[in-house]
Amino acid sequence: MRLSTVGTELGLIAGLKAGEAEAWRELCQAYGEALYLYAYHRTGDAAAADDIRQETLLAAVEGIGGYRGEVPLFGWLCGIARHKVADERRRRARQSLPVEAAWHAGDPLPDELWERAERHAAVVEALWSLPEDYRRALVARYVEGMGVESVAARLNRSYKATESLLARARESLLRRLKEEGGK
Amino acid sequence: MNDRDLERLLREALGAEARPMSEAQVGEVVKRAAVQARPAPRFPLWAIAASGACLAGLVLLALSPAPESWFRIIAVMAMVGNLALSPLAALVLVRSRR
Repeated sequence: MRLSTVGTELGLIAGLKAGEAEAWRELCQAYGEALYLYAYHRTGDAAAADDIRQETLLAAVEGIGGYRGEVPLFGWLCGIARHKVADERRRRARQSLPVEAAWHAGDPLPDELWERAERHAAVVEALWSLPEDYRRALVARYVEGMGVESVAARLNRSYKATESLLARARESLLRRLKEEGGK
Repeated sequence: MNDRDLERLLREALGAEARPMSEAQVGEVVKRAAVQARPAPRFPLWAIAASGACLAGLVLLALSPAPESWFRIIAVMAMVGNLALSPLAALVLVRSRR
């Protein structure tokens, strides 16, 4: 997947609060795909995930004035998305459609798969709540399977600095996952 | 969690194909943000002031020793003025939101 970049998050937030088109465009670029992944893991349905992403961003437009920065921006977006996912589940329940319908031809999702999907959503939330250099390093190292040297070259850092960055990134990710697990 | 577990977890979590946002979706968000950022409309104060002045003039006239025919003319003018002011103010309000 494409990993977009966010400039200075504080600057971005100020732009969002001022309703600047460029800031909202940047937010969509930076977090749109991650938000989709988050919703997809929690619903298992591509169309629903697409809708939830859009509803989440529109709700974010309404609520950005109240965002105080206590949580990372992406974590805040995921908080909104969680409510939208809950709405979707209620809607499906009313229509007697299992949330997991898209996964296995209408069969209810086994608990194990359900837990895994929730864990994957938590990983997406934690990863995109990390500083950008942490995220880029982790993705390059563990998702793209690059060696430390290649990661260092991509990030324009020394080998030693990259090793240290990866260690801090890992630690931050695991800490966030632990925090999210406690929610 | 060791490196291999982390690698597996990240690959699984990011393995699904992410659907990019369409230009229409981004446009909708941007448009909504622009509308949201506009200041809340305020009823034009001049309309309230003018309306108040009409009514105050009417009360003063009623209390004054002016002939009844005068009072009738001014009362009708004040009523028409007040009736006209509200739609006029609404029109100004709507135009300022465009």
